[in-house]
Amino acid sequence: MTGTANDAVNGPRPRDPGQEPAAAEGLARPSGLADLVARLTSTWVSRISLGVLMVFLLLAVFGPLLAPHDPAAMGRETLQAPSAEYWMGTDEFGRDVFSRFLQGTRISVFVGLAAVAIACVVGTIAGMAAGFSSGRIWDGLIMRTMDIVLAFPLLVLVPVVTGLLGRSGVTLGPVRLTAIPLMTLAIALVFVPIFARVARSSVLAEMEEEYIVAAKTFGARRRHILFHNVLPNITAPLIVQAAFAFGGAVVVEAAVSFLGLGVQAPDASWGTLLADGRSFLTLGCWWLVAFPSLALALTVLTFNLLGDDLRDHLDPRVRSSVRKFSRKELTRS
Amino acid sequence: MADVNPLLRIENLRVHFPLTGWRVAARRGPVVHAVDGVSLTVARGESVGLIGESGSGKSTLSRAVMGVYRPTSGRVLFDGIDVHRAKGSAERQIRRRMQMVFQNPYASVNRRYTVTQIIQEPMKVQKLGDAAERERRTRELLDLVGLSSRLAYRYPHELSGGQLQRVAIARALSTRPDFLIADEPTAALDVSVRAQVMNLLVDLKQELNFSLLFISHDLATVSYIADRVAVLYLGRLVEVASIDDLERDPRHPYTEALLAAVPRPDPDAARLYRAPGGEIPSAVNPPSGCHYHPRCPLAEERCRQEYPPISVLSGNRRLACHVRAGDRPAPRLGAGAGDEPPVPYIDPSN
Repeated sequence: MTGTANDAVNGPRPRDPGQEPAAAEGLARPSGLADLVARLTSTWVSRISLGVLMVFLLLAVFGPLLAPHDPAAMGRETLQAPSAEYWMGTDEFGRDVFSRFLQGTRISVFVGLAAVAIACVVGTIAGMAAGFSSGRIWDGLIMRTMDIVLAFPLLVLVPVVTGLLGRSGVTLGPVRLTAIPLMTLAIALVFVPIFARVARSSVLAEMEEEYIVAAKTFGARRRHILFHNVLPNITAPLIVQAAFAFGGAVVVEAAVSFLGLGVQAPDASWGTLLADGRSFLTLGCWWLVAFPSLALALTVLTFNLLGDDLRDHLDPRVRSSVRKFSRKELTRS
Repeated sequence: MADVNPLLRIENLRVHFPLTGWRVAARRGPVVHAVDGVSLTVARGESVGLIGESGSGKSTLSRAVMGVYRPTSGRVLFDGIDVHRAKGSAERQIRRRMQMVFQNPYASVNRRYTVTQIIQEPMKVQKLGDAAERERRTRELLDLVGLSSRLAYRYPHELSGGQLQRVAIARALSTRPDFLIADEPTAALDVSVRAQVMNLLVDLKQELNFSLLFISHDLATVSYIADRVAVLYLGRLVEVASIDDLERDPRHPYTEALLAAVPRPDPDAARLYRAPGGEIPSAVNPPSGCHYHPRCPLAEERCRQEYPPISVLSGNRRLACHVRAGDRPAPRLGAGAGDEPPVPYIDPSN
């Protein structure tokens, strides 16, 4: 088999352009991660969205250290427009909006990340369990529970949890959950069914594959099949889903906080900044609302673009559509 | 010459699939008779070919023999152990000693594994050897199937179909099995590499002396490797005979039709066999009587009524046909000349 025939089937390889596979035979294959980064930086749109993502992450981690003012310190210069001293102006108490914005960024980004991480892990485990016991009692039990969670509107479930429990907090053994962790858990709960559904359908699709039959013929146990064969093959759609879910989680957090049922003063998030600034919009104080709104919009846009990109590069159903097609043709005996 | 102690003994195996999802309803609902009462033995070191067209139940039979599908009734004995009831060390033994090669190598290996991981998976699952030993065995196997060890860390999509099928064969041989099922191992490959893979299998069989159940829809491929051939039609065996007997003197009309489909490198040989008309009937509602009667040019009234019993003919042949069961050997042109082309079957209705 010549290299050219291979390339025609598998599409171009970004890592060794113009190189014959025969020549590259002795070379170590680039690791999966390096390969992915190379793919993700191959277009301008993806480079920009990765850049914005990095900026937000850095701001979330180091932002409060960069704050030029104490975000809680009030001053006499109230409702100042953006200037060299106050980059995003000041609010009605004379606090520096930029410093508050950095504080809010940390909370918004971390709540989003934590919620998606929890939802992804819990949803994947639930979905895999359901998919693996497809048609049996566990499948029905798990997926109907997910349907019940999905039946609650997003913006009702989260505020109810945080509104009812957030003020006093909940004590779970040694851990005391205050408003922010509670809200994170509530948002995670809302996103669990999305991951469970993706995981379940991916497991069902993979279980039909012949390599699972092969694994059974040489005596692989359930655990081996599930974690060594199925899981590596369903991570791609889950990562894609996580990217989309992050944008959603940030918006939910902002909405709940905007309603006053999420993050409480003196903490700030993009949602509370919007809520605080909203009444001054009619006075022409656009800077109070503009920057948090921009940050929100940019986050959602970035993650949707990133999700699309990841889907293109990671999801084998998209990536290997050419190969899948020819495989189907071949198996027709 | 019936083998008293065959390596593999399939006894009246039935595999039916209910069409409805509900288990309660399944007892009464429509059922696919994928494999419907197959008995077959494979002796030690023997290679048996199993042929039949699409939908005849070849793959279902192979998966049932490997223990992936539960039989509806009947059993599969491997060296005296019931494949579907084995537990503990007996099951481990079976899993080690029976292996399978699949039709499409791209589908039958995990696409996220490297060649090394693919070959080592059975050894890992069965906890054979330590890491260093498995590594050594992997090199040995790559060498055995004629692959460069430079391919050891490649991914499946970086290999050609022929290379990957060699990897799949190496995986099957990794546990040193004494029985191998090859389910159309060349059907998904380019014509140019089919011969290579077939030669590899023949060589490996000679070298390692395992028993082989070779499944194909193509009699020409089977005749290359098999000592004995079983012909499967709609879940039942219609004829079992040695490859020589079968090619020289096919008894079942269906076998004749399959033989007719084999192209012969002789431009003068008239193609007098009739290929079976139409499609294989539905396995949900198989035809009454002999399942082949709607396509059979010899069909008589009793063929429509009852399924023919299996008759044992000379040379340990088995045949399920009302019309041909009592036949003397068909007349031959120049009796005794084994290299003569098979006698054409002339349709009596003409």
